[in-house]
Amino acid sequence: MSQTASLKLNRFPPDVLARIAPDMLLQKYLQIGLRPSLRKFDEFRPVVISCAGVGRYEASEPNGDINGVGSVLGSSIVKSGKTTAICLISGAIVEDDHELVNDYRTKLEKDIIDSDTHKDNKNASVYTEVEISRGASGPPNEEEIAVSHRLYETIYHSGLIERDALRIRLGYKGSEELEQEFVPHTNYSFVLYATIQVFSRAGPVYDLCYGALISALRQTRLPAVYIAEKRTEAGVRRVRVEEYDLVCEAEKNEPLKLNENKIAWSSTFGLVELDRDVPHDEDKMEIDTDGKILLAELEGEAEENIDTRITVSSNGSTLSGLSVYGAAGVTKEELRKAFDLANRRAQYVLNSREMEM
Amino acid sequence: MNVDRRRNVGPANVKPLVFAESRPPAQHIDPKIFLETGLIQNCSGSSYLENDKTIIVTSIYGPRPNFARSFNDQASLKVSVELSKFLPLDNLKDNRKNITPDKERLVASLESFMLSNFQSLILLQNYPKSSIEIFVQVVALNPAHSLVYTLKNIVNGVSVALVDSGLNIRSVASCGYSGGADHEMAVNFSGEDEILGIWSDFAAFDESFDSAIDTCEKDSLQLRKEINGYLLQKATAKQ
Repeated sequence: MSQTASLKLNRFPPDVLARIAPDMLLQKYLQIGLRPSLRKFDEFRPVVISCAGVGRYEASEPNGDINGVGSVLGSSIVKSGKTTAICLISGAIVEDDHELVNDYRTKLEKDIIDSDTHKDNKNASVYTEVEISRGASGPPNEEEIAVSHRLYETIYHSGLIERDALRIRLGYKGSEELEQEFVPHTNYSFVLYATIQVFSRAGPVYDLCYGALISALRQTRLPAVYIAEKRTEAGVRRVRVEEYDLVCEAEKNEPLKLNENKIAWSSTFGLVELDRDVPHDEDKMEIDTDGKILLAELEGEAEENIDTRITVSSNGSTLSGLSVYGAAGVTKEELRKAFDLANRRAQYVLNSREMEM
Repeated sequence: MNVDRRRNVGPANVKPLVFAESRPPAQHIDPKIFLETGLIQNCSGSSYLENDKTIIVTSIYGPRPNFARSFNDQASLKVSVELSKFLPLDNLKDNRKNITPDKERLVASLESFMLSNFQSLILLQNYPKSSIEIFVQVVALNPAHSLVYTLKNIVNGVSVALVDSGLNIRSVASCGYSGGADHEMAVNFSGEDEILGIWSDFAAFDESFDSAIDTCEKDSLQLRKEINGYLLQKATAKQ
């Protein structure tokens, strides 16, 4: 007696296949000239930038009560596809000579070297914290840490914010300038913080976070600061210690000065090779290429599997940032194509109506 | 020295911004709410609730496999409330003590209240060996809103998100609020005369307590009508 076992062909819906065999699914789509998200290879997702209007001084929005209180100085909402990023900017005051960038106890070796090279620089940055809502609590994960640090470094090295733009010019309460003889010996500056919350993450989020941060910075307004009446002066022998109470005006403010030409938009591309070994239907083959395929703005599980990635920031005409992961086999041609696409994307987004706000 | 290297926290010796006294926030409260479900893609259920500039985003993950314990015959429920970093928390104080509480304690008490509420609302025994997690993010907060009023908004946001998630629940809960000059109260109802939880600052259980509960019930009934209307409209629009 013999038994026959029959194997049934399993059919998986695309989202299941994306999880168990991402590379296979991607190849299947690429063969017919599409991507799993049904976009074309060089098609970006539409992006909508709007101001959240929750900042203290953002009275242009009819938000009534929410303006005028709290310590949010700038805000923005950026939506791309289904993914949303909300960025809030706040600040604090630091004595210039005492900013603890060189406190060796708190730093790792790399940071010590970095802070030494940063010391004389005239650029400033924003301390960024990115939170990606992913259904887990606890400390930030690898991606959040990486994106936060990268945003900090990018803003710093792009020269978007000059140290001078954050310097506080002390005044009297009201509009008068402080007389020269009362000006304290120490200089004060603002320190900027940003939190970015990302909802519905569908792919790499760096571009979106960068966009949200830039748009929030454009909305940021710094308060005018005056010295409150309380002033303590303690003298121990010949060392004189002065301490002032610095108070921010409730209404008076001025916009944060940015180097407008340094405002850029970043685009991430994935580079993938068409695998000839994956079984395909000759009739349905839509594309005929031997080179690699450049995919704009990765999205979905299948595309996240692509290891070779190129991130380009551009302000529309000038390149301001480039990073390549898994660089093996990236040719000049492909880089040039990425630059070209990133430039066009930046021109389009930065000149769109929303960005003008 | 304990330094958080995972977060980019900035220099240690900064002074927080101190703002000059500004005009007191308006005390009237606009009861209109804006509700939307299913905006967040990668979770089982989500809701977006906006009430008078307060924005609350809720996302629910689960039932997911729970590997934490060897065996549990019902789902474990976890509630996390996150108050966005730069929110004005001055008004979120306890009426009895009149001090602005520590953020962590505030969050902990909100979480434990919601946990006990929703533990009896969700049919946890239908999901053995799994975990259900509720995440509430307060993105923006109207400074005029008190703690109890915010709690009401949060609870209602979670209730709607629970419906969106398709988890088995006993009924759609709705939370009512009654606020007077001295006392505030929020009562979470899961149906007529069925109370899931009460948050109030009453010290004595006298007539004013009873009338406050009645006000809450009326408020919750009104809200339930609105929520049901929205959900019905959403359900029929899909087809």
